[in-house]
Amino acid sequence: MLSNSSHVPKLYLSIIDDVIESMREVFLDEGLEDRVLDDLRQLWESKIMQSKAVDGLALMKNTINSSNFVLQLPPNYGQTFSKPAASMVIPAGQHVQSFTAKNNGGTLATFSLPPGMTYPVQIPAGVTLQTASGQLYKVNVPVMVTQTPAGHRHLSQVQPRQGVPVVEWRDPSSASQQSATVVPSTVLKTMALPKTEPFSPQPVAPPRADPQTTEQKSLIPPVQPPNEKPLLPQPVVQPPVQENNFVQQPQVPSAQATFSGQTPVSFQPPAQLPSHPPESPFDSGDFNLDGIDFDSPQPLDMSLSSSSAHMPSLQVKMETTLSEGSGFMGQGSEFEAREMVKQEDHGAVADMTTHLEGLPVDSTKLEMALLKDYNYNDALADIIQLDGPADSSSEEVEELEGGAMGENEFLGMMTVEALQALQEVDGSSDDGISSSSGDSVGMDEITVEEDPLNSGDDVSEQDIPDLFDTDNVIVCQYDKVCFSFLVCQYDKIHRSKNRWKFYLKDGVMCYGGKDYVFSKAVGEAEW
Amino acid sequence: MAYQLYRNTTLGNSLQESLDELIQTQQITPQLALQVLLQFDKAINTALANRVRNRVNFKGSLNTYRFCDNVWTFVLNDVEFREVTDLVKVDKVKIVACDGKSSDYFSHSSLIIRPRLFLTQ
Repeated sequence: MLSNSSHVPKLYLSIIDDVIESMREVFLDEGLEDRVLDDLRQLWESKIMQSKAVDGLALMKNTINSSNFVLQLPPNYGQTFSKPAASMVIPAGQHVQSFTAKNNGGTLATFSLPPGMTYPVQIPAGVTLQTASGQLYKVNVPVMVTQTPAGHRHLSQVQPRQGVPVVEWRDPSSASQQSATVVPSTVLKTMALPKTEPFSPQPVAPPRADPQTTEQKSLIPPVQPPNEKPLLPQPVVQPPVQENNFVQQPQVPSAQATFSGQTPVSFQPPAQLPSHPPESPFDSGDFNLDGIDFDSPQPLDMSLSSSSAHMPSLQVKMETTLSEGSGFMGQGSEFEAREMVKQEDHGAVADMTTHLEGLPVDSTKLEMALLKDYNYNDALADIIQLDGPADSSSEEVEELEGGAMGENEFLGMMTVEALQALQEVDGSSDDGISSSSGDSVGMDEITVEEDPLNSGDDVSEQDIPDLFDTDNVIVCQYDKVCFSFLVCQYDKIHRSKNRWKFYLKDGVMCYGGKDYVFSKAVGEAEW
Repeated sequence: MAYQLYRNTTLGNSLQESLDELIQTQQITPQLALQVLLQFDKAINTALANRVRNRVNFKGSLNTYRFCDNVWTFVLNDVEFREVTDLVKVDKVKIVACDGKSSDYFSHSSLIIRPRLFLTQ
């Protein structure tokens, strides 16, 4: 359905536009800011993109100015993006982070934040972001994307701060574009620069990271001091490490090697911090990065490492985030994380570094290690240690520690409730009983309660198990829903003996995970 | 009032999820979310009626059929969807069809209940 698939994104966008625009006045009447409506739009589009039911929605969006961030790409972006977007699902969260970047001109990349993402958003190093046009940008340095205090996500300024962020991929030429003044109220961007060259598709982070990190190291020392001065006075400052890393310094020193695929990211100005300290960069939980290839360990490492040294509170937040089940893609940039950590010259960071280095690349193990550092695992273990069926949950935890798990892999550290729910579901699904109405009593009790209920349900369930599965509740996450359905209106339904003819119109179909639409459909089937 | 039939599509579901998130963060009221959904109903009905101009044929075997409240529900197996350019085969598809002659709100209200469980597989 090639022709159909090309219509669908446009149609969907037009519908989205209609709805959003027609609701704009209503929202204003309710006293809500435009930002809320924009949030809705972003969430909506991100979810659609996440579902991958529509091809090319991101591409379509390129032409629509709904971007949140305007990023400049480094001048040395390659034009080739052969690499398809590999979506990385960070579990536990419902949010998919997909970035659509308008890279047409090359200079500006517009990023729309995925749903559920709240600012600031931290993009760990080693992340490859895919723009709407399919270009891949690799972020070799953890960056923090934040929102301006006013809530305007649009970044009008390319870079409020002059200088190249610690991210190497700024070129000196690009740096020149940036104003040297530090504007706390503006979003900082790590930009690459005027050149519009797209990123090279190479997801290769490590090889490039090496020279870059080294450069980074060399750059950081000179960069940091000047950075810190303007930053420190600010009451709420992002972890200095971050700032040093991300804030552009007036010295735009060396042309930083343009990392292929490094995406400029805007940073939140320190002024933003007061409103965000309670939020961890991953406050929204998990995010799904489309087109991101992580060559190295988790982003979590980066965020933790970068923030740990300076913001213990952020560490706590990270823990909390972890505990809330935010899973991070296992592949982050451990190497880069180490580099970053080393650069920061902080004892706490060093501890983390040591700890990280000693761990395998396995993300789950890293997560567990990190958690252990915070003594969180003890509490978690205590909570998870339940009698009876709950024993398996402890096994699950161990599995988490031990290595990749099946369905739990993406959940990372799950909350107790989530684990219990899973336990309940596992128990109930076998019995065919729905007992998971939020009852957090011991598993034994739930199991006992399920039996009498189950027997009654079995009889009715067997007749139409496929269509009306109302009693079995499964709580899980899915990568892709592969069921097919068709929602439409009928003009006429005709039957002759056992031959049925359908005359349908104005339908939306979903099959093979993809969406289709039609104005008329004619079908026949034999019963 | 336009059919609320399309709320359980990718587009509709993603909108509902987004609205749910905003409600949870208390950025909008449930009332407002409902208004958004109503507006969505209108928009998608209009869009499908006016902006889509293609035709699909399909053929398969009918597993079940139901007609209730002027809503047809079919489950077809081994279906081939054929458009001019392409052919897609699906093992199982569920078709929910409201009356195209009248846009009656109440006739499909049952579809709104348990949206995710209603359409299975």
